[in-house]
Formats: sequence, C-alpha cells, structure tokens
Amino acid sequence: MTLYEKSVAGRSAFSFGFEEDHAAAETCVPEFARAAMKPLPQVSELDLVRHFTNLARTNYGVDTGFYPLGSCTMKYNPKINERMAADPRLTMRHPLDDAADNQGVLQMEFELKESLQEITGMDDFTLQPACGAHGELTGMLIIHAYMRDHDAGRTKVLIPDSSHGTNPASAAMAGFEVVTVPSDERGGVDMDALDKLMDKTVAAIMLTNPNTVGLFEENITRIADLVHARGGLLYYDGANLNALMGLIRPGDLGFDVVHLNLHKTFSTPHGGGGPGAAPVGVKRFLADYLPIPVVVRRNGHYALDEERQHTIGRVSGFYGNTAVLARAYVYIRMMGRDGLLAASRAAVINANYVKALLSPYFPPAYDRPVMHETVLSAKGYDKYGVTLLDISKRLMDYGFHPPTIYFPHFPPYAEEVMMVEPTESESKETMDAFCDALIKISQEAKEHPELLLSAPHDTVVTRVDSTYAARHLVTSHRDKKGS
Amino acid sequence: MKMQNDARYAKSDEWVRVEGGVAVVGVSDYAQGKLGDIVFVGDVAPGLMLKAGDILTSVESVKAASDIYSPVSGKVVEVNHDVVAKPELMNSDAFGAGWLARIELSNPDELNGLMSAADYAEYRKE
Amino acid sequence: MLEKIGLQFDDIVTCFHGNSCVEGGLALPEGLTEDQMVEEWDTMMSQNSRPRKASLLGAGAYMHFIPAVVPHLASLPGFVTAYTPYQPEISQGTLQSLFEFQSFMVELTDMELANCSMYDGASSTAEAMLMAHRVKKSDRVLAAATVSPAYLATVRTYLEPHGIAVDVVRMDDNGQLSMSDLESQLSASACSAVLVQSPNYLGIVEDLSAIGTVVHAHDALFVESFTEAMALGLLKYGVGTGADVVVGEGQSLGLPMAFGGPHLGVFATLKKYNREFPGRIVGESVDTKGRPAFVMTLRAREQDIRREKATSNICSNHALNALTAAVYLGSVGESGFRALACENVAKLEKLIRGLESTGNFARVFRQSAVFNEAVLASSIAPEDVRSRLASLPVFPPLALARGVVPEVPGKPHTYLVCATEMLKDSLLEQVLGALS
Repeated sequence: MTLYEKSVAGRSAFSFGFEEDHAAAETCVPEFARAAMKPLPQVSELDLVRHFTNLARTNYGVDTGFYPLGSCTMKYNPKINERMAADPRLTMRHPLDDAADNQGVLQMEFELKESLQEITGMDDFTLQPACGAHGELTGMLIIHAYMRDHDAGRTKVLIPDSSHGTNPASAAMAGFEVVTVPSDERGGVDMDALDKLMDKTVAAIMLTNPNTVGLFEENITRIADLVHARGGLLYYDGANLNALMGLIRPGDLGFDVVHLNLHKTFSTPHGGGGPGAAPVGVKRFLADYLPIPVVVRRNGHYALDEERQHTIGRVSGFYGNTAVLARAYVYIRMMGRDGLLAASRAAVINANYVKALLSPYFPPAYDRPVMHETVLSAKGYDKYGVTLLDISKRLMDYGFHPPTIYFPHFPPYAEEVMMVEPTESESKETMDAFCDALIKISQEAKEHPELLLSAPHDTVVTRVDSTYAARHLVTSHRDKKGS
Repeated sequence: MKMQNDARYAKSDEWVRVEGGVAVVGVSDYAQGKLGDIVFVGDVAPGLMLKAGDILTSVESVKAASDIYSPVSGKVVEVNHDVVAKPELMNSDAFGAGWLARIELSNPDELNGLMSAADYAEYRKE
Repeated sequence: MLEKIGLQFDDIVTCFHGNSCVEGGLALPEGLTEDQMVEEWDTMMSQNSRPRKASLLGAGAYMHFIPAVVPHLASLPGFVTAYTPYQPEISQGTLQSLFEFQSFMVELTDMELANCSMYDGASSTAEAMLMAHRVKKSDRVLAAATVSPAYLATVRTYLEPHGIAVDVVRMDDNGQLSMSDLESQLSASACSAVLVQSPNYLGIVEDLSAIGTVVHAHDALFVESFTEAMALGLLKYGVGTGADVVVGEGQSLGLPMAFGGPHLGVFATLKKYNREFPGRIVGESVDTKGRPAFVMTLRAREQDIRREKATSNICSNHALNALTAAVYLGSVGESGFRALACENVAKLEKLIRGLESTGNFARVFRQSAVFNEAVLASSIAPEDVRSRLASLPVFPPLALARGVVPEVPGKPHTYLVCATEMLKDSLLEQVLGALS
C-alpha cells in the first residue's frame, strides 16, 4: 500500500510553530495560485515511520549481504563516513556564502582534490559532476571544447565494444559521433582495428582499465602512443579503479582526462541509485577547460576560482555533491597510503579466488588472471532449459544479490555471461558461501530446473512482469485506477 | 523458427512480400523472439520516401531497442496502426497481423537481392 | 586463497610490466583510526564560521525546517546501502519509495509523469532543453533573462556542442519576462523551447499561463523551471499553464543545503513524451502471484540499452534524495506543505515591510508578486550589511551586481533578500534592529 492509500483526511505528522497569518498569503498571488493543494499524504508520524521502516526491510543492501556486482564495486560503506557527512558544520553551510566563512569545507574539498590527483596521477580536478555519467559528460565536453579550439574536424570518439553504455551515450551527448572498436581474442582492444580507425577525424578514445571484462589492457602504452601520435586524447573511465590504487595510475599510463566514481571505489553509499559523485581529473594542458568554480588554495586560504580561461561553463548549480565528497574524503584519509594499496591488492586476489572456485562450473570468458572482477559464462545451462537469468534469480533464495548479468555485451560472449566483483570488503567465508551457492544452483539446474525457473521463492514479491509494466504504464498514483 | 515461404528476407531480419503490386514489410519471427516482449512500435509517417536500408521505424522490448530498416525502396502508402496500438501482435503474429507498413516499390529488382526463405532459415540457424 | 588461485600476487599483475607502476607507494599520509579522524575533522570544520538559524540568502539553495523523522527514515541502512533496483524482488523498498516520489511530483507540478530524479535543478533544466531539441529539431531555444544564472550557464554548456543557440528574452520593468520581446523573438525564427523560471531569479512570480499561450502559438515546447520547490505549494504550474516540461530543484523538500550538494533534480512532463524524456522511471506491475509490485520501466530509452541513441546518458541519479523528499512530503503532509508555503510568503512580506520602515531599504519591483525572495535596494553597502549582521545567526543576503535591476535613487546597492519559515519573529526583529 502507498502512503496515499494509508491516508485519512485530517491526519498529519507535522508539528511546527507557525507565526504568520496565512489567509493573507493565500490571496496575495490570486491570479497564479493553485486552486487547492493537490493531494499529498495525510498520515500520522507513526504511520509514516512504519511505512518507510517496513519498506526499508524489503530492500537488500550491502549491510544485509554480499553484492557480487561486477563493475559496481559494492564495498562496505563505513559508518564513520556517515557521521562526518552529517556534521551540521557541513550540512548547514549555504554555498553562496563568503568563502572566508567556509574555510573548513573548502579545505576538505581541496585536500580531497589533492589526494585524488596523487592517486590518479592527474594535475587538476573538478568536483562538480554528480555521478559517473555526469563525469563522463564533463570530461567529453572538455575534450570537445579543446578540439574545437585546437584541431577542429575531430568529430569522432572511439569506444570499445565492451564499454559500459554510458560511454557512448556521454560521447553523443557531448556532440561526438561514436565509432566502436572491436576487442581481440585476448579481451583487449584490437590493435589492428585501432590502427585503421585512429585518424585525424578522431578526437579521443574512451577506455576503462581494467576493462569491463576485468582485464588489464596489456597494450595500453601502445594505445596511448598511437592515439597521441595521431593527435587524439585518451579518456579514462574510472569505474574499475578499485583494481589499481597504489599500484598503477591512469595519469602515468597516458590518460589525459579521468573520471572517478566515489560511490564505487571510494566507499560512498549507493543509496538505491545515487547520489554519488564523479570528480574529473585532467592533465595540466586541459586545466583551463574545467567547469567553474574550481577549489584552489592561495596564500594559505581556500577559495572558489572562476578564472578558467576556456572553461566549458557549468554542469551543475553549485560545486558538486559536497556531502558525498566528504564521505570519500574520510575514507581516503582513514585508509591512507597503505590502506588504499591493501584494498586494491585484496580486491584483485578476491576476484581471482572466486574465479578459481567457480571456473569448473562457469568457465571464465578469458584464460588469463583477472583484476578485480571476473567474467564467467553460463552458456551450456540452456540445455537444461534454464537461462542465466533463472540462475541469478535462484541466488536470491540463497540470500545473495545476483551478479551483473548479460553484460558486457559483445562477441564471443554476447549472451550468457555474468560479472563477479567481490571487492576487498568480503571475507573468505562469505566468498566461499557465495560460490557454494552458485555451485549448488548449477547442480539444481541439471536435477531440478523448476526450482530455478520459479525463483525467487523467499522474497517479498516474486518475479515482476516488466512487459505488463511497459504496456500498461502506471508511474504515479494518479495513473492507478480510481484515483 | 516460423517462416513465411513466399517472403524475401533482409540480413537485418525484416521480411517483405508483394501483395497486389505493393510490398508489405515486417519483422521476422526469429527477430521478435530475440527482442522479447515488444512494448512499443514507433509510428511511421505515411508518404515517407525510403531507400533500401533506411530506418523505417524502431521497436522496443523491455530489454532491447531496435531500429527496423526498410528492405526495399519506395513510398510508404499504409501504416499498420493495429501493431502500433498493440505491439504484442508483433510477437504473436510477426508475419501476419504484426506487419508494419505497405510500401509502393520504386525498384522491384531489389527483391532479387534479398534472401529466399530457405537462405534466411540457413542464415539464422542457431 | 592464493593457494587455490595457484599464483602469487606478482604473477597476477605481470600485465602491469612495461608500464610505469607506482614506486614507493602513493605520496599520501598514513591512515587514521576513527578517533584520530574525528579529531582532525573537528579541527578542520571549526574553520567554518558560526552556525546559523536562518538565511536571508536564497538564490537557489534554501534553509528550511527538516523534521526529525526525515533524516531518521532516509538514513535507514536498507535504503542507504542498497544498489540500483535492477532486481525488483529484493528492491521493493527503493522502488516503491521512488514511485511515491514520482506521484508527489506529478501532483505538485500538475504534470502527467515524473521521473525518479535527476542530479539537480540546473542539469534537469539542461536535459529538458535537449529533450525539446529532440522533439522539435530546431537549433534554437529561448530562455528568460530572469532564469538563474547558474541554470542558464549549465544549459549553455550542455547545448553548445550540438550547435543549439540560446537566445535570451529580456526582462521588463516589473522584473518579469517581457511579453513583447518574447513575441518578437518567437516570430523572428523557429525555436524548440522557451524556458521560464518562476519564481524567477529575482524572486518574482511569472505569468506562466500567458507565456504558455504565446509559446504554443509558435509551436515550441514550454519548459517551466523552479529553484524553490516550496513554491509548488502555492503557485500554479504544469498542465493548467500550458507546460510541456516542469523541471527544477527539490532541495527544499527535506534536504540540507550542504554547501551545494547533493540536491535533487525534478523532471516532470506529458505522457506524449514518454519515449523522449531522460532518466529512470518506476512503474507498477504485478508479480507471478498477481500481487502489486514495482519495477523500473521504459528502460529502452536508457543508456545501457540504447547507448549513443539514449535519451540521456544518465545512469545513477539522486534516488536517496528523492526518497528523502518523499518522506518529507509524507511528514509535512497536505495541510503542512500549503501552510509552509504561506508562512514563507508572509515572513518575507513582514521582513520587507520592516526593512522599508527603517528607511534604508526599498522594494525595487513594487508591482510584482513574489514568493520568498525579493530584490531590495539599499543605502547600506554589502560590507556594512555583513558586519551589522555579523553577530546574528543568519546568512546575509546576496548582493547583486550593479545594473542587474533598475536603480532606485539614493539606494545604489541591491540585494536578493530571502525569508523562510526559519526566520522566527524574534530573530526577524533583531535583523531589523541591526539594519536600521
């Protein structure tokens, strides 16, 4: 039941000491005022609390159990981050108030910027973008503006066939034509194809490294040299940075623009789909193109700098998701130099461990050690009449969130692949339990496929009819019959 | 795989057959199976002039979106409003009630360049 | 575990060979324990100035009362630590909360469908303009001069690479959109959309119905935007005013200002655009047992399916903030939300009357209706305003640059002054005292 359905006329959860005469206010803007307040809920505070508390209980979260989601890096969200981010000395700051009165917040942002520069090997950062896709757009807008000024005619961007969907979508939104680069049989960028495609109409190549198949791009130096030699730039999608912290830096590999996902690598919570934050880092020659304002330090004071000669402008109303940045700041500060390295090492070891346990049942897509995630194939289970979707739904009955399925989406594993990323947060015991469950399910597929086909059984709702949802669109209470 | 033997097929899974001098175009049963439950069929402007390979319309399922390419050149003279209103017809009857458009052929020789039913069946054999 | 893998760590990372690896560790300080972190954070945050109880500063971020129940429910770990609800069977909490948010947005904006959030008002507005361009195809849009400068800048950044011109429609002497300039700009050449913010950047309520009629006569999309969501409790938007899209900032709905983010992008539109709009949307359906169940729908518009042809690149949005807004609206409820909107109007009116009676301030746009912000001219300079208010727990108002609004003789300094329900009478009196 929704809050509307629980509403009783006249009930309220609100308690506030109003001081003014509202009758006058009601009529002061007569010609524009809405006739009557359109329906909002009328519930007591207890009803409100029970409503959302019970809804929260139907949700799976990192605090509930393991998320083996490839390329999502669902690591633990430390509670100290939450406490610091809720500090009223941060939450009660107005963004347009004088910088002199906000030195604490600005210091936090500046030091975060510096840490990210060190971790990635980049020279400057904007903290404005709100989520990964927003960061990608920002980075690609920077490249677009740079090329407009220096080398017009570069209208294309090269993107591997294995890329996350946001890459081509962001490139198109930034005004580019997208050209797909195929992968070779080892799972990396096909160098011959790249050689043919990289010419003076190409502005940049967008790469994730390790790529979405969990493999480190072996030819990255050759790719960087080739693209740069022919006048292009390299964009780094930082979704998979969790494999590299303290080991290798995208800036050192030749990337010119980088975005990071703080809600992945840097432990800020996912919130059911955001808010996140996606700082974008650049090499010095692009620093003038960053969106304004940029946090700077001058003579020991922190300020918001609007003097970027060739700025692309703004991508958001203010300066970025400060409360999310604060969480990442605390994470990085507490992990420190050694903690970040240990995290990446453990992430890589854990992924290889899970791959070793599951390979006999779900063969890996590529016969190479993986980085922080592994892609495993479920091809062959269709002879029992089950699909990867059925396998993943059955995992919920074992108390696990399914891994990423049907992605990446490219030959030769165009269909039945799953991506597993344990992250460094998970213990051996948890990973063993997860792998045991999947192995049991692989047996069930042969002996009792009906268990998979009707899964999940133990959840608050069973499989939801997406076709019905799309064919009979009900996206608000107003759409429901009788309201 | 359901087939329609008197139709010709494009590599991109569209079929075409000629009825009363006008080409009828749709999407093959194989293709609708791959797409899954169709939830949306884009409307087509009547009178639209197309070359073979131009985008005729697009269709969506819950998990995929696909552009539909016209296998022939000509002018759209009729659009199947039934399938636009009830996209599920494309799933249940891809060769019949799920047809998309009638096109007045400008170059009937193009039909020879398309696959026969037998060739298409071979091409799409899994 | 390494035994099971059969390799040493260095063997796993042989792929790094030939690339410059980090030598000697990152140049970052050592990590901290929890108590050390608290200590260091405290020292840093004490560099901010004293806490405030009210804000005379608005301009896109507003200090409102947040009931205790709101952060309590919004911080439940089931919501906070959940992933995007791609697996609806174990995400009904997120999905239903977002459905409820969508429902509230449809009611407040008086539109037909709303997505389950975008990043903020500025980027939502930019995406609305891109959508209008997809629908109408003309490489030109109009935007009122009285749209928030940050929103206009964001729109320009998003539209620039597509070669879409953004032409500005002038303000009239009342601080509203000039209808004559609108007519002439629309007649000059085709455009895809007209963007008008209400209340506008100067706090003034625009005549959206009149504007909508003119816009539609010229076959463009009418995009209404707002920076202050509380205005939705009192002012008319949406279908009744001819809107095609209503976008704006939902921060006032239970979210702290937090130095600018994360806030909440609202995007609402008409059903006829249901293939064109950006962002995720939750629909109601049934499960295999026929029970009501929520699921993300209309997914084929999105980046993971459409890739470069997607309606937007947006993937994650601000779901937890949308949930927070839903809790807030459930908490203040139907009567509370309207009462708050009225309180805001009345507080500003009281503050302005008080400031005018000091003799140091005068309303600049005397004829125009405002919500909770207004432009006042003053004989007192900004540094002096700041120092007079320095001992009070209020954020001082925004000083506008010269020439933004018409000059008032004897009062060369102009301010955008905000008042919300947080400005209690006792504090209001102290403000008046300080500025007399």
